[in-house]
Amino acid sequence: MEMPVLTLNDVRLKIEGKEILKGVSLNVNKGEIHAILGPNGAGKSTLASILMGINGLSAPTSGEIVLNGDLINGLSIYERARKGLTLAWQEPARFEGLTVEDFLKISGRNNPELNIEKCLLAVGLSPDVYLSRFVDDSLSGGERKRVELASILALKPNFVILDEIDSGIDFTSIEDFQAVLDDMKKDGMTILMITHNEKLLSSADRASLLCNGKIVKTSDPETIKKRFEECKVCEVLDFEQRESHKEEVR
Amino acid sequence: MKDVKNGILDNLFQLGLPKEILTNPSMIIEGHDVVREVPYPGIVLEKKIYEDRVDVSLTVLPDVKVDKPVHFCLSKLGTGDQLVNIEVNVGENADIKLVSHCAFKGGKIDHRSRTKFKVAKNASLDVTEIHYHSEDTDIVIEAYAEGVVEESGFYKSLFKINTAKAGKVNIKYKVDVLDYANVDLEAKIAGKDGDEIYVNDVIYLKGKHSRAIAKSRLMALGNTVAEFYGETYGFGDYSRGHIDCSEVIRSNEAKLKAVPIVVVNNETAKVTHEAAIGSLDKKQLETLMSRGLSEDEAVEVIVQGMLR
Repeated sequence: MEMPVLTLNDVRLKIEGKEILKGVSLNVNKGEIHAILGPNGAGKSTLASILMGINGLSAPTSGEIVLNGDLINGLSIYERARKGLTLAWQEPARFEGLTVEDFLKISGRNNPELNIEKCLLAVGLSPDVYLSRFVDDSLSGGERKRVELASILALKPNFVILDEIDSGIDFTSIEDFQAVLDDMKKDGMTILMITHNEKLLSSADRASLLCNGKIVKTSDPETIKKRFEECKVCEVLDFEQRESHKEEVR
Repeated sequence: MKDVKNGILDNLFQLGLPKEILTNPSMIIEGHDVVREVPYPGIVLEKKIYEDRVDVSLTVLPDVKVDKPVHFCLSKLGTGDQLVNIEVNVGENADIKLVSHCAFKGGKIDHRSRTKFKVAKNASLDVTEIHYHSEDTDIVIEAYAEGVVEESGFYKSLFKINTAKAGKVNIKYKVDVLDYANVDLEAKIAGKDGDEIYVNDVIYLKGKHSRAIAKSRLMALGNTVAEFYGETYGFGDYSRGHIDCSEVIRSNEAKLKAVPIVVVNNETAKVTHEAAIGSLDKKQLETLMSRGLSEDEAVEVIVQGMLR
């Protein structure tokens, strides 16, 4: 039986009286790439936030988040990071006066095998050109996103959440992206890939469909892809309305 | 004597001074004593040593392009006063980059510098003043610079305190900018508990098509007073000026003030300003913490980046 690295048990989150996550339960197994697919507004980024403890979301309203057997509800961001969890941000931060080299060295400061040139090459950036560049507004959105991925390779965490990692990035083919994921897997990372791009599902080992704050199905990527097609109406109807609509049609 | 001087240098390097100061044209002033000089052709460097001050005069002869930075080091190791009067004259078509290292270690130190400068026609003067203060120094800094930038000349000044403990800092720059000349003033200082930082830039855009920008980045990381006054006077035809002040606050006990003063008496002149006071960027902090840095470590990385 596969061993889950990350387990969510009935995670619920209410913000200002509105329930955003409505009982999310999920197991992510060691070494797998698990995709979370869902339409806009399904709660994907909120899920990423509550897993990493960012945006003031350090604990769910109820339910448990367990990483490697430890309950991480209420832990600070850096306590989670020191337990091997990190996040590649959908819109990464810009830093005044910090070079790409500085950023990668800070990220990989506890990685004894750190090779920042290799990390940059893995995401398609030339070290000669990029090491001295500043991680500020002078980088395009796509370049910054690649630097974010390089920093994950430098950090070499046990578990990484990739939040909409393909948005704004100009990978010429899915194979390029797959190569980065392969490097992460080779380094022993377990990956939770949050996306609304169904094309990325081919990179995943398993996938879950998040709709209207709930995981409605976990299965192989092809099954989830098909279910996502059916569920696209969710962008106008919520999932429960959609299901009852289907029942009525039947 | 040699050992004493080596001891001074060792202390300065420990504070963060770059070793290139030994090979580049330079002058090292410890207290009221000149402990080292490295000359350079085309630069006339003169000094007068008094009991209570040092007077230094640096002249770059016309048409001389100094191809490497000239280093000044003003240091005080241990309790005492330091007063340095500096006169800088950059001749026509000459070009020089000055790096002034101000290093202070231990005790109660009162450092004052008075600088007068003249940048002649088509000349360029680029000054970076970097301060290194040890944590155990109780320091008062008063730096005053006043000068003129003549036709098509260029003057750039960057003042920064590299260590988180600033002390009581009062700096004032006053510059006359003549026809087609260009001036760029910048101050970057972070203050911790008990620090007081006052920055006052006064720019007179007297010449036609003169240009200037006054920029400040002040950070209050504890019980700190930080005030920036940027005054720009647009007098010359088609002169252009801008004041940009951004202050970061990270304590409810800090008092920050940003005061841009814009005066224009010429209908073709234009002077603009922007001022902002806010907290550190939350996403920057959270990103670094998601890489395993504690909040304090993340703040230090962000502040050091801003001071760069």
